[in-house]
Amino acid sequence: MTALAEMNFSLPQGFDTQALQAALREQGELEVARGRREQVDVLDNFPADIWRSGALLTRNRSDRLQWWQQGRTEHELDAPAESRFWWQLPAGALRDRLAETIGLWSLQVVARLSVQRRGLVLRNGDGKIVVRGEWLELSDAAARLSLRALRGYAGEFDQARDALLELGAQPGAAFDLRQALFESEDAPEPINLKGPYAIHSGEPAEDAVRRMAVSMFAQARVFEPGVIDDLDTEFVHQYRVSLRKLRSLLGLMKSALPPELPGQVKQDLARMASAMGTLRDLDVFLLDQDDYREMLPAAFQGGFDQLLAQIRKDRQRALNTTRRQLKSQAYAQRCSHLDSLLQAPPRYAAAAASKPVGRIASGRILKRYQRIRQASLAVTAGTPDEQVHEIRIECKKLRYMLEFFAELYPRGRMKPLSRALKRLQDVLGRFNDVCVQQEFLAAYAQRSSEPTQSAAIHGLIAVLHQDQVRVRARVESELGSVAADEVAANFSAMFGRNRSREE
Amino acid sequence: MKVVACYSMKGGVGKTATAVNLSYWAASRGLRTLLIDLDAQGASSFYFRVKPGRKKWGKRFFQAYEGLLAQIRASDFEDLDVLPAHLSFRNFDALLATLEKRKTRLRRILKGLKNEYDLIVLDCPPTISHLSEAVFNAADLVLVPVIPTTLSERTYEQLLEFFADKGYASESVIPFFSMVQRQKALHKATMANMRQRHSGFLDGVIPFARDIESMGEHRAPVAVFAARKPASKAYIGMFDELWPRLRPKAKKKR
Repeated sequence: MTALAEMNFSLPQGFDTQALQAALREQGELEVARGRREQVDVLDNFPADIWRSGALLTRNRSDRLQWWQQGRTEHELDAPAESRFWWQLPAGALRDRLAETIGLWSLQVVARLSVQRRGLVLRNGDGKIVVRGEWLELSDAAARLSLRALRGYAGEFDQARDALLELGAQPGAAFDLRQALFESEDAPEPINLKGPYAIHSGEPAEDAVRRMAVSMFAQARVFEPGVIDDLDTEFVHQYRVSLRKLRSLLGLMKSALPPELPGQVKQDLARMASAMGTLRDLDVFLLDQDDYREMLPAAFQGGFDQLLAQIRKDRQRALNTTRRQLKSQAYAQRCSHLDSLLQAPPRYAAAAASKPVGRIASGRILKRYQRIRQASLAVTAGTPDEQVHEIRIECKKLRYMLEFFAELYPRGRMKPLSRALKRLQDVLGRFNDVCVQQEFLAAYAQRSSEPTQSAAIHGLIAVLHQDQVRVRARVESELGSVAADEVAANFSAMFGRNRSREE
Repeated sequence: MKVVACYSMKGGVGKTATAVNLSYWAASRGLRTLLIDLDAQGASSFYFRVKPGRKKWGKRFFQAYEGLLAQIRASDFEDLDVLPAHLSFRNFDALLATLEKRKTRLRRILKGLKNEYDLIVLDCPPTISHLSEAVFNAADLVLVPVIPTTLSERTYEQLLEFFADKGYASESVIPFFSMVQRQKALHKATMANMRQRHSGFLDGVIPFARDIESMGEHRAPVAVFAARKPASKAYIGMFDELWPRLRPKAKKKR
């Protein structure tokens, strides 16, 4: 289909809409909305994923949300007051877009803009809109006007365009709110949750690992204020993930570090992360509460409500504990102790410490993959669940390794490897989740003295158990596809050769 | 792209009102929507103040989608275009005389629009004809308004039989109650009865409302002039309920 005409103008000083109205009198009636300068909030999640995606989300005083992309509003809708999460918005394309872009994060105000926008329309004799436009003023810049042709009304567009040119409007580039925000130096700064860490494959392993560790620890601490303010559940989650990754890094690369370091650090890290473990478990349950509710028949809903009330209370308690811990003296001391350990200059005490990090990483990755492959090939329908869990943990570590050192390898070749693992991990992760959730609920069942509440809990456990059986049946085939000869060949080609090349 | 037909072999049951309001909500929730007014009477087009072209182009409708595009008009609402009806549409049946044509023509021509639109809504004439067969072949969902009375119940069952006879997927039929007067015992009883006998009725019902009738005066969807009234809320509810089946497939992430 031919694209519809669109034209942007900058308007001369003192441009008069009445003159335009007069010029277009024969075509119909020009309506210009009353202009009002308004403050709009620019919204984004904490890592600024909307900004990173090339779009911009704004919200005005009357809760109208607008999604800007490529210089124009692509979607808009009226958001419920106080809504901060995508699932609080009405069903539609904008909600889907947000779900995909911001995940479970809440929306926060990241900047404010003062804009004056006035819609203008030209109506024909039937009262039908035949041309659309928008008048826009941002701070002190010259007023702009954009004009859009509507399908089936090309002639009217041409007439309006000619009238504007006649009145001295200058054709110009499309107005871009992102550009304006960028120039105002209020643009949000994206946070990278997965590196890169600015390492290069030839540098000594200890240097690289220390730098990565320091950066991961700093990353975790970035989430602390959000945890304390309880903005959304992602802060706790990402805090824990960052610490877990740091722990994995130190464990996986221990041959490059002074022998006592991982031990010293690990204990501190474990304590920090476990403090938030309870909070995270409760969050996970509350996030899934709608799904749980649907699993239960109507007769169990009362008991489920009681359970929810209990869990909310427990969550508040866990949050208070977490807040106390984060603000405590002991926590501050632990952090500075960790920092000083990680930031100490390299000692090259370990055998691998001064070897090139690329070589060490390749060796570790390949070895880990081969270990997983061996274990995977041995899994049958009768393999105990514990063994499956062990493989899951190994897989997670392998995925972490691929993520940590991704920048050392060609991106195009890394992708298929991590994609193969991702699918497996989704299945294994789901398997783990349903197991953990059953344990979580079982603990509540033991505490509960209310028969209706117990009934609801046991009902949920039964459904989750069915899930567990179903997911378990898929584990073998997924393990099989990761252990496939082709994948194995890819891993050796990528990480085996790298190693030999540098030797 | 999804194709939704608003269809009933009875007239005056709320097809056009549904097509108009559903299209409106789909567009305002961000689906690029095209409403095709297949009914030669042109009620949908009238509600959106769109006039058909002067040329008798109905006989070329099924030939090339470029020809179809030239007839599309923007409505007064973002993301909502209308293909206005034309009196020459009454000859569609002759154009779709062979079985082969009924199976492929409409579907093929609509497929040509898949890059332009996320949703196509067909407002169908109240007949069971070659055109309606072409519609059943082309539509992902067939929305059927049912007034909860005995006669409508029979009509609905006839439609299901027709679907079974011709081998169309009966899952694509989505019935819902229309012009419901809750104060009428007959309406209540028929609804309860029909929900029991037939699965798939939408939970939401469209009430019998003065506001829906006044769409003709305002020449606009209900939400424009009676946003807070029950009728408007009913159509929002209908859209929300249909959303999982209307939502476009997620685009591949870069």
